[in-house]
Amino acid sequence: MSRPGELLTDYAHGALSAAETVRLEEHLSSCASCRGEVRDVREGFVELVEGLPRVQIPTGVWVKVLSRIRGQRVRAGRRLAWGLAASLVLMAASGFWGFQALENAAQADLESQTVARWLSREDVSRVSLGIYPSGGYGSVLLLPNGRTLFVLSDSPARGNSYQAWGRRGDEIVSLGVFNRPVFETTTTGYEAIGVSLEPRGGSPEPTHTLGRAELPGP
Amino acid sequence: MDAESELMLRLAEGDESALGRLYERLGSNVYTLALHMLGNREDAEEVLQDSFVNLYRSARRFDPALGSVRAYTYTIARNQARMRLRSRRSRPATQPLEEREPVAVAADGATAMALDGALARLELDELKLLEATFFDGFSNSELAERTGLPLGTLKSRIRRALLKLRGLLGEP
Repeated sequence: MSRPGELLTDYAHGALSAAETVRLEEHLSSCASCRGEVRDVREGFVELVEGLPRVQIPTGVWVKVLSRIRGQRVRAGRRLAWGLAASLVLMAASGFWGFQALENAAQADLESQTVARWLSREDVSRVSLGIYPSGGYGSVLLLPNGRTLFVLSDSPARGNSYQAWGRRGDEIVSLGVFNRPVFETTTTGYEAIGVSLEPRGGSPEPTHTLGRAELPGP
Repeated sequence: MDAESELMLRLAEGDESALGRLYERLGSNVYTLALHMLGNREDAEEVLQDSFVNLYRSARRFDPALGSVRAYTYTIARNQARMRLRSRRSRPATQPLEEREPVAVAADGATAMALDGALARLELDELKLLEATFFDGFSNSELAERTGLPLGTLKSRIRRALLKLRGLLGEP
């Protein structure tokens, strides 16, 4: 092995192997002179760096650093934040109903982002679908252009699907079959909407209605 | 204990806000260093990220007896940039060492002016050697090979140039 004094500059630069670093640090712990030499090299480097023409730091890097050090915690936290934000907005606007549905929906990142995006709009309104026989909750978010977001408390049981319906007079029309708690469709022209639980793939007409709601008139 | 060492202590205990404060203080210098070494903003930005992630993870290893927080941080950044230079398998300094321009210095504020003056009093060879050592990512062995100097002589010259620079900066 090289003598410690020969390795100090490389150590100061962080250029030694792990094994050499360990050995040299053992020496440094008991040698004030070598510690001073390492310090001199490093502080000399500081002078050089801080003498360079300063460049403006790019924006957005700090957020990336934070994301990396938090790793999974950031992603989980973001999902929770979306869920909480969505729930709080809904509670403030419409009372407690729908809270559970939104909270559960928020556990799926994409769905929670969709819900939060809808709730962030000033022109959104919310209608409760009432209480399911199973005890779950459902809500519908409505936009003036007829776009509608069904938000249910959980996914359908295995082997089943949800199906959205619209009523216009005596006519009941399927608005779509879905297997996730969140579903987007259009309800323009309907007086009422509802959701039912159906065998996987849907049915020609509702067989097990979970909830329904009258829509505001034009 | 100086303010940055206190921040480092907090960082070693996992305090993210301490990392934020260090980023505010040192981020632009780290970015400047990386850009100077790599000559590419995208790579420099990645080095900036990598350096502060690394700083967060290695804060417990910081030893004030071996240099300041700044020295520790810039050393991390230099090594991150150096790894990128190596992975490119090319160096920005394609010119022979003796034809390279020495360190450019910003005349911005009293410290920079003092440094400017100190660097101006170094020999040109000393300036080029410092540039190659600290910014170009060469190991001492590589530099010895490029300059034709024996390794021991090269290390002595680098150290002498640094000590001279620090001495000049310490002069009233």
